[in-house]
Amino acid sequence: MAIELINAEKTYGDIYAVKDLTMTIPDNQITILIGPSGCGKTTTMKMINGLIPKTNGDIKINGTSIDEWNPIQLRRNIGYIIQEIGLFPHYTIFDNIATVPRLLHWEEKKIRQRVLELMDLVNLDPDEFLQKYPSQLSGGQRQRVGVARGLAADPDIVLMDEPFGAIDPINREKIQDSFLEIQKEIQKTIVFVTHDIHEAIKLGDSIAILDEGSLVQFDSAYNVVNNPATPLVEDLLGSDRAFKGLALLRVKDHMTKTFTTLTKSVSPADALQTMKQHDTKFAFLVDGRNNKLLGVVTAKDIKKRRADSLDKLSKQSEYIQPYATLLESLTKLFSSGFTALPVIDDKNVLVGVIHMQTILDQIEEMSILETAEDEA
Amino acid sequence: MFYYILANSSRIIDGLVRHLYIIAASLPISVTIGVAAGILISRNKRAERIVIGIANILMTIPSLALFGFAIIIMSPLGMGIGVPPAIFALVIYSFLPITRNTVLALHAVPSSTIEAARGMGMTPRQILRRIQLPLAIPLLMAGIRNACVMGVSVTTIAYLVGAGGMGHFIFAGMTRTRLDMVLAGAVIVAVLGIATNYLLVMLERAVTPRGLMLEQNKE
Ligand SMILES: Nc1ncnc2c1ncn2[C@@H]1O[C@H](COP(=O)(O)OP(=O)(O)OP(=O)(O)O)[C@@H](O)[C@H]1O
Ligand SMILES: [Mg+2]
Repeated sequence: MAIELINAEKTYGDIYAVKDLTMTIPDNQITILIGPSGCGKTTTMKMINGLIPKTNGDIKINGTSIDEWNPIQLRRNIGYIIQEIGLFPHYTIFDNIATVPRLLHWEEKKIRQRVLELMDLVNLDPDEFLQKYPSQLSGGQRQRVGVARGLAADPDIVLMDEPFGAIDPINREKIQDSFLEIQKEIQKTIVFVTHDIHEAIKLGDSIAILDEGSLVQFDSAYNVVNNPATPLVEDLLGSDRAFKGLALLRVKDHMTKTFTTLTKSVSPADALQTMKQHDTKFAFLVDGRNNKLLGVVTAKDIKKRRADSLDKLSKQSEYIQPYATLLESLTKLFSSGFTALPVIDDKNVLVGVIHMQTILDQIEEMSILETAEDEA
Repeated sequence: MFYYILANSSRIIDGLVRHLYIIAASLPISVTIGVAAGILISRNKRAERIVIGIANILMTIPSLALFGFAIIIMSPLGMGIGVPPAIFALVIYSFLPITRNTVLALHAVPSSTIEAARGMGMTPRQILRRIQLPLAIPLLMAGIRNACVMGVSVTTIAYLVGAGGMGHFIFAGMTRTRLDMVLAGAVIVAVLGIATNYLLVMLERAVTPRGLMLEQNKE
């Protein structure tokens, strides 16, 4: 389902909320709308699903002008996650998520199954939450329910207005990771509003920057970071633009799959031997049956502490997920004090390792440091 | 006073039954008209302003005068005296505040909630029935409760248009300067008002959606 905006405009009196906006939103991708408060992001979204009637120009959904769509049908086919969340306070979490499937007369059994699926997706425990009411949830939890509700009827197009804004930073990174992982599978056409440039670079296939209702730049995330079109875009990217390039790169594309693992049954002496052979100063302790990460063991600790089992010697380790960015990895590496981070999937299985050196190499390769030097 | 009540218990019961009858006959009408009118005009800003304006003016008319008007209006129909004008006056008196509260209750529903419902493709009717009305219940019920409690005491005036009821003891007691009679009437009407209020509070609790109760308890 393609979305095309053709000279679309919205005016209030002589004020342009959206001005002469022409853009084709690519199918099956995430398109970010970003810009200062009041630049017209929400208005653009609401024009796409007809909540706000456009003043001039045209908007085509799937080749058909929005004027010819039955607005009710159109909206049932477009997922919409509003900025204010807007859960129904008198509905349980289950009923909130089930809203659109019920409007579409799905079978209850199918609805139930779908709701459970979505709860898993947004990382909320169904047993704990489904029968609760919105007032019993925290802001972040409510927002996740809002996301689940918007995706419920499996629409081809999803409009998301700052969907992760109320979620704390740690959970936000996690939900972004799972969101990307899911998007890889479901390949929806997503229009995503944010005012967080990190989020934009991390999630966006392409990024549209709006200012006072006009489109300033619309390009791939890579091009926006490397060739900001105007000073406004540069400002948006901030002075540490060089590092932001790292947010374009995903852990899964740069991790190594060769690493040393040990199981609990290995004796500390043998472990030391193995590390020597592999020429490494640390190894990951995993569960021998399923490769789940248990901790990290260093050669230094084995020598110093002389315990009789690896279990006692292993330490909790920082970790990262495959869809996280290199920028996030770098931050975690700094805080962990290690030179490598284990990469685990959502079932805690160790799938790779990302090395500090790899990230530094990337910085060089992207020559973003050079750009920064030129500017300095 | 208690002596008076005991000695005249059968007359008091008659008065009470008549009083309740007038209320029971008129309040369902005013609730129905009031809520329906409220819903209808809440969709149109101008209608709303006009009706609420009229409501505000009508509500300043002394209730006594309203019963007078009722006699004049109902007389041509041959129903100028007795229960019919009483019911008429009471309906007029109580439906306007209910209308006003209905409109206010519907507007008190957060616009983001309605926006979400629209964005998901609910029709205006579905929004009204599934979202706005349930969410308006607490305020709506408070309006109905107010109107009913006021109705209980205003019904005493029905006596003056020949409809009987508890007003008899108050007004007849006044002309006969029988303090115990006036007191008996007044106290019983007051108790009736309190009971009505209590019943409607219970009803309100019963019909308020659970999610909303939780929200209110939190605040
Ligand atoms: N109903 C309205 N009447 C008049 N002006 C409006 C109305 N709605 C929005 N605007 C104006 O249109 C402009 C764009 O608003 P919009 O809500 O699209 O901004 P936004 O980019 O979503 O901002 P934010 O990041 O704060 O959510 C703003 O300047 C706003 O003041
Ligand atoms: Mg907005």
